[in-house]
Amino acid sequence: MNKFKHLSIPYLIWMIVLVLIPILILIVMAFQETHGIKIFDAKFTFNNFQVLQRKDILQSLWLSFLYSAIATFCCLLIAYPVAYIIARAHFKNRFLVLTLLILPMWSNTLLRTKAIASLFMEGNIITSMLEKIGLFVKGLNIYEKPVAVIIGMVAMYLPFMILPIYTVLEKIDKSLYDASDDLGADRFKTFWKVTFPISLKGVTTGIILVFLPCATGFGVAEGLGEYRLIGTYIQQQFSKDATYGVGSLIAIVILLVITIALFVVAKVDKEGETLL
Amino acid sequence: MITIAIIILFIYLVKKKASLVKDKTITKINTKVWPKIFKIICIGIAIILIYMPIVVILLQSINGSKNNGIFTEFSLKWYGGLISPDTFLTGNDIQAANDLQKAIGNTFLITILSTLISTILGILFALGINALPKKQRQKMILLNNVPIVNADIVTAITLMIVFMMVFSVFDWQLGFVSVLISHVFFSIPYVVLSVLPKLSEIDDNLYDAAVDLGCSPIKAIFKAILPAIKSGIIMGMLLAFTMSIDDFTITFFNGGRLLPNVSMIVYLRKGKALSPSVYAYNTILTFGILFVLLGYNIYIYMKGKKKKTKKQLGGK
Repeated sequence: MNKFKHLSIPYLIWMIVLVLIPILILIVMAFQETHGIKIFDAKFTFNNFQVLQRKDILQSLWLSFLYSAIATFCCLLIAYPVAYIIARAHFKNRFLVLTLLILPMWSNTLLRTKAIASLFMEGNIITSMLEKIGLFVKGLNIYEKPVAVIIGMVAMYLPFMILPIYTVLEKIDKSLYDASDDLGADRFKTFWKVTFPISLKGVTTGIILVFLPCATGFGVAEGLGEYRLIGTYIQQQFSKDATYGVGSLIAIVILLVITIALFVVAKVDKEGETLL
Repeated sequence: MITIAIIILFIYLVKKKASLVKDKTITKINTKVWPKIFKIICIGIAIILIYMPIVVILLQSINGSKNNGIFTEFSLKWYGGLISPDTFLTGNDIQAANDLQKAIGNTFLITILSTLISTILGILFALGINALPKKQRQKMILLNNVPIVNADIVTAITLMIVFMMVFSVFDWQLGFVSVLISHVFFSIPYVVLSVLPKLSEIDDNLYDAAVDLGCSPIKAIFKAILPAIKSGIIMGMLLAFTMSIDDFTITFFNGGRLLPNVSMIVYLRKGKALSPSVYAYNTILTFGILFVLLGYNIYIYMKGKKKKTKKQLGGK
């Protein structure tokens, strides 16, 4: 099938035009003070870099990191046992398990965010329904508080953590367990020496798939009442304020983190099996 | 509400424990019940977190009131408003529902077109990548992973820059074309990733054999290769569809204002201007896809069973 080799050339060109060239433009724009895109007649400047010293920007970078780090950690804490339990239960019907895990993704993310955010208010639809049957329960009233934002993020991105870990755990050769058992290891030792090292591949992918959208997205965070994150700031630079230079600069900061993530993925998962 | 969930869980656990106690192997219980409780708690938390929003959306869709916080009475009018706003709704709701209808139309137009285009292109590109030597292939996969790993907002901005530069030459505006191209762009990598493993499984000589037997190259692809990678294609299509129908950030920056999809409407309209019919739409969509997939799964299962029985009969 070597004849098909040439089919990868258009893809390479497509990727260069839509990925590599725009990133170069982004870097150029970070050194310009422009409103909108005027690459050729704009002046070279370092002024945009002052943004990186502003307190509010630094705070929102730190806040984005903090929120998504905590959310990612919580996701991992819940997702690992769940993936492990599902994988070890040896369901015959892998398709059904996957369908049930992916099901929420066919529901609009922003609408789900809205729904979960409404639960954090004192009067919500559930308390209202309970009132009808005579149970007077007060809601949590934690809307816009950090706890609510983190719970919301975990709820939105949990499947992205479960799926890659499950994929890796499910592929582990069962004879490895038997071998470990025969060699005298107990269940805990088998887990620690056999299962855990193999599953790290899925854990890495999961962490990346949860951490990045948490830290950089703006739809979910804004839906949960948090407007101070870096995604919201970039969004404003590119739509309302039209200060593309500043926006590009911060996008590049994010891009640096993503490049690291990309190489980590390439290192642990050369054929991209766990990304699905 | 969470307390109720915990109570239900607790009752379940107690029942489970009671049934265990009845079991004769009492000595084993003490060592085995805690992992079980841990298991149930973990799965319980995950299910509550993942499914709670869907349940709320379902309740919201049958709520007679427009207010998110109050449940007045059971009503299917928001479902009706999805089909014909004029007959089922009144006042400002009609306009909001009309806008929603348009947004749903846009969403499906873009999603279906981009799923088809990206599936076809994805298969072709995957064929190309699969034929490359190992080093080059891994480099291409790295490049392919860029849109998947990249933050939505960075992808959206980079695409917007390209579109603005190219479109300004022709004096076009960001709209249908740019939204469609950007959706195809972020869908292709998922198709490529799901088709590639299937391609590497099939025998390299399959295609050559088909050509030797007198197939034209195109016929050889259709008759020999595509059937062998069918499951990968379906998986890729499903992923492309899922990503495209739910997209918000990339549409937002690449012409979503001219061609608002459902996510855009949910984001831009806060409070009263958002028609609750959107909850009805979402419920239908979620459960519709679920039933289609379950149906497909049952169909495959039945087919497999028939084959087995046939084989058994033939064996006798």
